[in-house]
Amino acid sequence: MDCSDALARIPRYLDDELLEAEAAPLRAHLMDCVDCRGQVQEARSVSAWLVKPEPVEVPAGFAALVARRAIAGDPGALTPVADVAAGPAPLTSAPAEGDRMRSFVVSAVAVAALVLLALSIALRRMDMPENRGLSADDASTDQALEALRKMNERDQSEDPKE
Amino acid sequence: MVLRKMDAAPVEDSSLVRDSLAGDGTAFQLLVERYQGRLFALARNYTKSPVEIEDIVQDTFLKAFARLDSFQHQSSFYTWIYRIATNTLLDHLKRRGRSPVQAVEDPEVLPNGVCDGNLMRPDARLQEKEIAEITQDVLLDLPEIFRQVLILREFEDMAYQDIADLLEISIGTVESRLFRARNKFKQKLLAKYPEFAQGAE
Repeated sequence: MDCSDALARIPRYLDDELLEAEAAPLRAHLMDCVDCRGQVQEARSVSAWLVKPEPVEVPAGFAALVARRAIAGDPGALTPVADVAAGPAPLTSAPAEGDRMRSFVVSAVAVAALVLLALSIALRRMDMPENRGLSADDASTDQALEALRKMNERDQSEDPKE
Repeated sequence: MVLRKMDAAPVEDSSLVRDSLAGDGTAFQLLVERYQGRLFALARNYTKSPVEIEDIVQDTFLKAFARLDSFQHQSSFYTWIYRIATNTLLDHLKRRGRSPVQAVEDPEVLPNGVCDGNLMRPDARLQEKEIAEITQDVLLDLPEIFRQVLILREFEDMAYQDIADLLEISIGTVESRLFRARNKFKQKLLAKYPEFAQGAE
């Protein structure tokens, strides 16, 4: 067996997925090959970092409660994901903290969007002088119109065709 | 309702399913009792919150009951409910804006021993619980397809064939996916915790 064959078999060897007829030549190769033994060590090191989380205890009476709900016709949260944004999912228990938080965030974003919209309109009106022409009580508009009228009169008087 | 004693000969899942379909709450309760531990453990890999875990598992069983007539008895009851559980889990995480990283199957075949740097074994001073927290931290960063096979193989000790049946993929795909999952796990672990690289101070 060469190293490439050995390396291809090592994962199945460590997962106990090799037949003895496949494992025996690999073991023989590992006895002789430092590099491949290193690969086995490395794979074992990775596995040593894969540790199951501590189990969460199943609450007492869980199965009885679920069975009662099932028999009573509770179908579970079958709401499609797209519909969930419209409101809390009809979950089988009280709304989780995440749902409440999501509603709050959605409301907050909506209010912030309205405020931003109002601000942007106000700023736009301040920045665009032509909008001021729409205001009837704006003195500067009157002055500008007066200046324009005078310019027009001057133009007309200077135009030789007229 | 049929009274069943736990010390009697174990009742087959298929028989409990049939009785549940006939409206026998005790039969369904037994099915829940039989699989609740595995499903709590499965959900635990996706969230720390006991409330969320309980919600997800409860929802899984309620959905399972609502569609119990679609259980074909060809696969095991666990295989069937596992699929409902993973869909429920992913849906639940999506709703909370915590979708797991999705990845399509990478067509590239990585060469053997592809990682840069070697990993040291967990320090003896680290408690099992602390290592498990690091494991979870790294697993959360892995694409779902890789996390899933690692959980099934490493935590549930499932054989390749059982994983293949459960995920409806070939044994060859299980093997290559596991290989890449371990490499990705190692890469992420070294990136997040460089102090665990061999030769690191």
